[in-house]
Amino acid sequence: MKDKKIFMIEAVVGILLICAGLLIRFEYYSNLIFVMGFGISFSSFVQLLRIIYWQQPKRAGEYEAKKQEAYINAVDERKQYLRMQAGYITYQIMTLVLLGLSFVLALFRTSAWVIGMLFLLFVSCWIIGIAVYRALEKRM
Amino acid sequence: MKNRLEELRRQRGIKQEELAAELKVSRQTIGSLENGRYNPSIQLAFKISRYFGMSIEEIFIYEEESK
Repeated sequence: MKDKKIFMIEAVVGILLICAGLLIRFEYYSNLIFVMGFGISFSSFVQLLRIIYWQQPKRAGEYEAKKQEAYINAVDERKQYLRMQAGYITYQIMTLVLLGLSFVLALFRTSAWVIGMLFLLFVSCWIIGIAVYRALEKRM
Repeated sequence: MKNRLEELRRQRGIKQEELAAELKVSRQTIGSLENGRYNPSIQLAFKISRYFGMSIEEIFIYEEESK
């Protein structure tokens, strides 16, 4: 039950959003809310079905082993390090991609606001990276 | 940094999976430690040394990096 609780709450929130989407009259926003609700409730139902499948008594041993494996993968220091490295490398790649893309789009004479937004994202990535580093440095 | 993890594990007839379960790490981490591809944190080094009943220096051999 404990495993299911969060997904049950999510499913209810999703259904409420679907209902709100159906009741709201503005077409664009009602579609937006409906799709959000559908996405949330659908993913929650999938998770609930997965839990129900694994919690059947005949799969109890296998389910416990899977949970233990997931726990070990979460606390394993080498895997934690690898996840951090993956995040760090992705940050560097994305920063360069944003800068490169804004340059390439500028060569193709794309609208200024598109290039501006991409460049703003590049600057935000850079500033947030520095801010997070400083915040972490203060704590350690 | 070199280590004697594989040698000690084999001496005791323990499988990588069993050692991993005792130390609460994945089997791949034991493999990486044995191959020298990964150096453990001080916490894991203490856990390993306690598990084998030896000091950290007896298991892990520190080598200065060549300039």
